[in-house]
Amino acid sequence: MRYAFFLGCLIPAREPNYENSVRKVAPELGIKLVEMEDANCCAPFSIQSIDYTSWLALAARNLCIAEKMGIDILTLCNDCYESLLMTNTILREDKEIRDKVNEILADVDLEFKGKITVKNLIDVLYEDVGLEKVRNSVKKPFNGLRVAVQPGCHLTRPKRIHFGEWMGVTVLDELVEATGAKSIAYERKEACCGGPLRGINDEVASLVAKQKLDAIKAADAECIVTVCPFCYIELDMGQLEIRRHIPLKGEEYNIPVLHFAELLRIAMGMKLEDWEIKAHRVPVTGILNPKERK
Amino acid sequence: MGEAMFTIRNLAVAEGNTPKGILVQAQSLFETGRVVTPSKMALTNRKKYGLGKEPAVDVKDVQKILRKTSFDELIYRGSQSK
Repeated sequence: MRYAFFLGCLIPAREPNYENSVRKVAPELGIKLVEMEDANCCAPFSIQSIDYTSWLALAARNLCIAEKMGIDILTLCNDCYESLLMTNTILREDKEIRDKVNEILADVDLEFKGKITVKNLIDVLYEDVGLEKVRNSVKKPFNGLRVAVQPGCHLTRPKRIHFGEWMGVTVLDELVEATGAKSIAYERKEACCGGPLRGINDEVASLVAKQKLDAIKAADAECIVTVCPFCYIELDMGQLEIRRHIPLKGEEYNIPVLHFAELLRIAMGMKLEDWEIKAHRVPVTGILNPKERK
Repeated sequence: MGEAMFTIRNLAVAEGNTPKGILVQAQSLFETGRVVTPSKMALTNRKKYGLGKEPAVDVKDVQKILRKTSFDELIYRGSQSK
């Protein structure tokens, strides 16, 4: 299983711990990550707000690079996933838009042909590797660790072109449970983390994050697990940020947040490096050592 | 909720109220080919952690595309609006 590894901007710059866990876990499951040379930003949906054609053309440039490599894209970022997947679908289905974008791409000697597929990490783990193989790779199961799964909006938003109604959510639940953990039910599971509002209105972003964290706390979760780098920042660092923007009435937030790849890596019996443990703003040591779990 | 935020953001930009954060992202995309650029420390750490260099981007090609779509003018207009 070979994939064009699309890292995007955020993960290599801010979340090397996520990238490193994927690089450690992938070979164990027979996944070969082929670096994508010269890939640009995905481009995210904020760019679509400014200009739809620019968004399509820039995303299409990345798709063309993968087409030249002759392999499907694997991306770790929900935002990149949605952007690349939607562009791939729109350009495949709409000849008029495809011709317009190809006219732009001709200036950089590229042409979109629609030959590859865009996959998220959980697509690859669930559909290509298979749940059974993931389950069999687990050497140190989590024995019922209570996990609040945070799939993130962008994983499920392409549902109209890819996943079923909430399939993205249930797939991640199943993958989490393959590690021996328990994916618990909680209110607002499908709700946004608040991240898209960060930098636009930090107070509202913190309020949205707080509502989610309160629901997770009420469900007695031991940790949060996500595949989205934006949700990760919002819910990890967000636990410290909340008190800067909202007057709290004695509430305390101390819920560790892990990337799914980190959870799987630990369950496979691999240890996180010190720098990776320190990358988490809310300490994760209690998750790493089952004896410290409540 | 993501859909609602996205729609509101589109409306705000269409009305000439582009949030500053989005303009900063757009400018960075035009200048570097990335919306988020790594700090010097992040690049040093990548090497230290054995992750290698961050993959390079041919900014000239990105800029060719964005000039053809007049994206640079849209950023300028956005920065001049209310």
